[in-house]
Amino acid sequence: MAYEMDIPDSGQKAKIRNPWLVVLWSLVTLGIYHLVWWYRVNKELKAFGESRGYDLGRNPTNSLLALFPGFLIIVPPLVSYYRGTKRVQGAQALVGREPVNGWIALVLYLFIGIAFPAYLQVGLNGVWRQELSPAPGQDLPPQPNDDPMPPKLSDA
Amino acid sequence: MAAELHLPESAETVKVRNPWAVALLPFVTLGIYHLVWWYRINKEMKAYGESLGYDLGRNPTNSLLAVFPGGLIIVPALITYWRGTNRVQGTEALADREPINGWLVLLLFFILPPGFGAYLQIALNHVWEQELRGR
Repeated sequence: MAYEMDIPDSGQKAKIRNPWLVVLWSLVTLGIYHLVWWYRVNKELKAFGESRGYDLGRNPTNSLLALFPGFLIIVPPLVSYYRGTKRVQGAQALVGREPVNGWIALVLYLFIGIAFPAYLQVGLNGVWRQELSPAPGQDLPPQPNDDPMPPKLSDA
Repeated sequence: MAAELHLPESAETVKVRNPWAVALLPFVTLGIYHLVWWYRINKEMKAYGESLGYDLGRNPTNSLLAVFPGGLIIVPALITYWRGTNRVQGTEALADREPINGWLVLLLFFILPPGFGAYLQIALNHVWEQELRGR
């Protein structure tokens, strides 16, 4: 389930996506969803940056093309992933959130590739949840259960 | 040498363990130490949680069984490692410490498994040492 959020002054929307589904759909669609996802998050970042007067990417189509057919010459996807990660960090910096860790992103990418998009999506979800309002007709996204505090014994 | 700490209002003790031992003893003992360690830290967290009135796990034996024989069907072991990591984070939260990074735990688990145990133990050591200093 994804929750659409309005990006103010842009007419565009950003989606809060379930990071597990980002992984799952990429596997089920043999990578096609990953391309769609990469295009969309770059489009969302661009729109969000513009709404704040900052450059968070200019051409999401180029980001997509860097993956396909760019992967045929290997380097373009690496550049696009690097820049995309920087953009996610930029969006987090704009709203005063702790940025995703570039080293963790790198090692995830190299060793557990499928978790890399999930990591970025979790970072983006935090930004969208904090800064954007639900699009008309959309439910308020649930708060993630990321509070490490355990339940009290009397409540459990 | 592991340092022991008696928990307040509990007959249980917790241990500050050398993370290198946690990482390497499983190799020497063909995995047996890992099972013992997983049972013991879950027992320690349960006792620590109870001493403060919080739920940090109820049944360390189940945690052990999830790893073996549960590990033979994979999923139970993954679930107990997931929950155990959450409990370590909960233990840190109770001690007002920054929780360990779940993504880093995931990475260590898959690409450097001995580091997974060591990382959790380091986090617990910090909590136990803080408790020890607080007396």
